[in-house]
Amino acid sequence: MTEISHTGKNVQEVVLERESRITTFTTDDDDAFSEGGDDARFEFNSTAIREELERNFRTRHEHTEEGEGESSTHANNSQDPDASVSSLDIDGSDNSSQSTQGSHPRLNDIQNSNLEDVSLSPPVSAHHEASLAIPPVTVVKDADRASAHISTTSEIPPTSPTRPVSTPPIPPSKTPASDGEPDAPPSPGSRQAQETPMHRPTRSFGPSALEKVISKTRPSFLPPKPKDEDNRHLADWEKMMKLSRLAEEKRRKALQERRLAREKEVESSTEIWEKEVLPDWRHAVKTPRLRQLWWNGIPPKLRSQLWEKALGNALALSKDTYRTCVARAKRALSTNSFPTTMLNLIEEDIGTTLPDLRLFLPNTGPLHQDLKDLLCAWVVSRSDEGLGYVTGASKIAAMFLLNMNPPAAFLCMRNLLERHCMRSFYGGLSAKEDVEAYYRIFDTLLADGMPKIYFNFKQHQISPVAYLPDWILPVFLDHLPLEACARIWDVLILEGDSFLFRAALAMLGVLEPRLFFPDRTELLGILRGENKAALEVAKRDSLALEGGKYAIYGIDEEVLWERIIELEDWWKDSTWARLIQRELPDL
Amino acid sequence: MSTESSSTYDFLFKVVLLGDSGVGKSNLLSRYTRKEFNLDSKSTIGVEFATRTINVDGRIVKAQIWDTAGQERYRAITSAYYRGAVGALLVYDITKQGSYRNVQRWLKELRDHVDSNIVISLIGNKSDLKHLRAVSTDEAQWFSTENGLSFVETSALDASNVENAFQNILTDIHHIVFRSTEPISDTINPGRGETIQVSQSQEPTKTGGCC
Repeated sequence: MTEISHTGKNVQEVVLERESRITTFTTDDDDAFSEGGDDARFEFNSTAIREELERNFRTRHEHTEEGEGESSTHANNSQDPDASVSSLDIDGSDNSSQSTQGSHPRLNDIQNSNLEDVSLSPPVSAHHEASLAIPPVTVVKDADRASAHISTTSEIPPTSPTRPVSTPPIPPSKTPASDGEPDAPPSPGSRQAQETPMHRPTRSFGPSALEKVISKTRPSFLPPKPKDEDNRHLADWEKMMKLSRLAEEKRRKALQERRLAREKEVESSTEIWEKEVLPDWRHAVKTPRLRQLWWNGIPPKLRSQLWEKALGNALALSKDTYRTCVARAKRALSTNSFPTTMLNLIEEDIGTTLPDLRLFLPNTGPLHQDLKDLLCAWVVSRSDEGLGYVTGASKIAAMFLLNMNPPAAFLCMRNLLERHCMRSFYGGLSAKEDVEAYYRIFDTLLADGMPKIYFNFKQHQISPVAYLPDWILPVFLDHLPLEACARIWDVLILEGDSFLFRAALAMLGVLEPRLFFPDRTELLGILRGENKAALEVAKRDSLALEGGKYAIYGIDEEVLWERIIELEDWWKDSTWARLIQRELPDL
Repeated sequence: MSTESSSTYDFLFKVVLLGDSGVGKSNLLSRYTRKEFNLDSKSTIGVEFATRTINVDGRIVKAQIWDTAGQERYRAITSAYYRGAVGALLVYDITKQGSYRNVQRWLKELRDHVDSNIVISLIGNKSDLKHLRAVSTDEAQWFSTENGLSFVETSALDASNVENAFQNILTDIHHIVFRSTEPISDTINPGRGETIQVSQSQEPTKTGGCC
């Protein structure tokens, strides 16, 4: 017998023993063979095996009665044969390597040791998880003992982990020990009962056996648990699920409270805004306190003013530009010279613009016409540069329209989309190279900030092109709740393009637990916000799904902003500047 | 503002509904615009709006009424909500003291966001629940006089005064607008300026679609 085979076996035993132990502990009030219900467990196996088992039982008994076995590596793991068929199988095979207790002193010895183990973990039996956690201690002990025994009684090949069927030559005589052991000293009575041929059929052919036996809490390839334990575990599981739901509820409530508190704070800061920021915002944001205030979100009432100021008018568009452009667009529309494909694109884009708000819906939305006018004017104003409509523009326009009147919205939109990163993404084919540079920048940041996600993405050929434009073109409006977006816009308008990337990284950060999936299609589905599993969960928890595509992942303002703030420590403006310099040297 | 509106109108007035969650804003709206009442209506999400065209002093006025969630959510749309509004119905529930107390807060928010020329009407809703009344008519009347609001008690359930409430506010708005275009000495809201902003909502005769 080589040591290797011993170890191999021991490992197996460890597992098997662990299982059998659990069963043993929990069944200690099921006296062996006394309960009909247990019989049913034999139904699990095929008839052949059952018969084989019976035969083995008998032969084992004969052997045992003869006092033939000397050592028992396994006596201490032996258990109620009632507990499970599989454990019987295990025992059968294991027992091939051992001839069990003939001598009572020894048996008692083993029992004691086993009972020690039992006493080590009495509460364990109630909790499957706990019992799984504890055994390693006892198991190692058992395993050591087992190997010790085996090495002393090295007459048996400890090779076959197979079923008793395959090992009839060595009649394993373990059962007697195992049946009595868990509860009490071996009772010859029970042994006799087992031997009684009359008993067999009843044992094996109990009514509705499978039903009683089948475990809902343990995989089928493991030995089943007794019914009552199974029920207990099911109850435990339900309790746990309930607790987890409660915890989830609590978490959501806490977030909600935090949100309300923050909103109140923003509200109450209005005065500071009016006094200290509005007069000279450029100067104000140099003060860390006021910059922090800005990061907390601009009070909705002052948003339009501050957005206009902070966006500036680098294009030097006059106030009349909007009127002129709308007029030109209307003329083009009335003479049918406005490209139909572009008009269709615009209508299509409007249709998907904040549909939950219903403000922009065709026919009924009170701001639909404003949005359409604005987009047509935007197209007209860019037509001189040879640029057409780009899907996503409707979201930008809508966000501005929510906060200001159309002429102001037009100026803001034109100027925001003139910032380099936005201009590249909205720049059509001519800006392709720049967009690719931005992808590389993002990839570099991702590799640095979240290397594991980066690695998984790389492995499944997911590059930023698969998700970044979807986020950046509408500046997250498709994916996030409006409130979270508005705050991102506040900071984006203040900080510039780099914040787009910080927000995008934070977004991946929030999605992180979902992004280790080793499948490209699945990953893409998650990024598109179409993960079926998440959708089901969201439905089950009746989450309100009005907050953009990622609402199914429970991403809201608090969650995302928590992450954005966390990124603060890692983010370095110098890194950003360096990357820009490297990838876009002309800038 | 849709070009497809079926009716022809001389003016389009935007009127907003304000008040705590559950005071019956949405039911007032549906009662007025669709003659419907829904006893177990859900909380409004985001914004709802409906239009109704009426005749005021021989002119066709299209009322575009905006109804918003009463909760402190959807802050990002408050600007859009108030922008261009020329009238506001400030609604409370006569059976709920709290909703009446909050009227003050709503009034402040309203005045924060809109031109001071806006016509505001205080509405005590659920007047059908007399036995549960928690806010006296006199008190509310006094409050509205004090703040220069018109006041009426309504019931969206039995439709009492709903028509009146809307008709009154639209008439008031119309008078102001009319006066600002063709000055008349008749003043409905003394002390109010002459410059109500209607450039957004006032649209000359148009033809088209629904409502």
